[in-house]
Amino acid sequence: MTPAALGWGLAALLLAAAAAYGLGRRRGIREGFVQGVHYAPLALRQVSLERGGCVLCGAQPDFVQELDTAAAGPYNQNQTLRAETS
Amino acid sequence: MSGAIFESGPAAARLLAAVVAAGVAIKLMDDYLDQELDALLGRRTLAAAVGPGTVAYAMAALALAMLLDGPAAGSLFLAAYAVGMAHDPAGRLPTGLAGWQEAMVAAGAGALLAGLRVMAAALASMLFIQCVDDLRDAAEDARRGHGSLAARLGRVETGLVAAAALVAGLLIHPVLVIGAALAAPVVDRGLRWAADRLPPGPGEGAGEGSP
Repeated sequence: MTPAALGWGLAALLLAAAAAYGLGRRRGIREGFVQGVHYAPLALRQVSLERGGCVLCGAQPDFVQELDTAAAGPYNQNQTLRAETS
Repeated sequence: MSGAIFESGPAAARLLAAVVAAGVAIKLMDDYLDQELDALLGRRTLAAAVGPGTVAYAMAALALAMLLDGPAAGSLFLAAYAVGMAHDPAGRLPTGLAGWQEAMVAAGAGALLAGLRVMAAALASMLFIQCVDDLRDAAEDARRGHGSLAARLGRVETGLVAAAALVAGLLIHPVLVIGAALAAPVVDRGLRWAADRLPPGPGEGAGEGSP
């Protein structure tokens, strides 16, 4: 193989690498965006529940106060019963 | 690479001188066209200091380059024109053609009049220089929303295209490509040095980088 042929092969390889990398990166960005859109509501809900309020507006919804029940209250008794039954 | 690619001593010297003169013409024209943006960024260029006379200097430099080596100088200028259109290929220009169409016309005219080999080498040289320049200014271009190759293609892709252009150019016409690659930073620094020594032009000093 001549040096010129090697050179042209290298140039073609570099162009193919640029095209492949560019296409892969763009596809990865699109897939990542879709995954992010699906993940964001779950993550927001998880963090909101962990903090006891909405992470976006800071509001504390009623259900947080409702969940704040006494250990021997009817809600927790019911949950214990369901867990034992299952 | 065949031996026919390498010019004799005087011919190579004329070619290199033509490349430097064409580089001055291209850089002056580029600075003239971008002087509003450069002024906003506080970037001091010769075009800002000289004003409309920049075009006359650019044409004189191009004439000198054409007299030294017509095909090389003409094809380099047309290649710079064509590659410059990559920043906005779809934009309509005063001729009514889109940027990419004018680029094709420029490249076609260069190939027809200067020869396919010289025009291809000039295109490869200018593409390499443009990619390196865009990679160097990528952060600043992103800040001001300038559609550079690095912003459009991505940094890695631009680097790979630059490498491919350099390899292809070296295979087609090594003297022209090496001359252009070496002349570009020399011309850039030389004109910046000259701009720093001239008194401020009208409207200068209002940019964000000015004291």
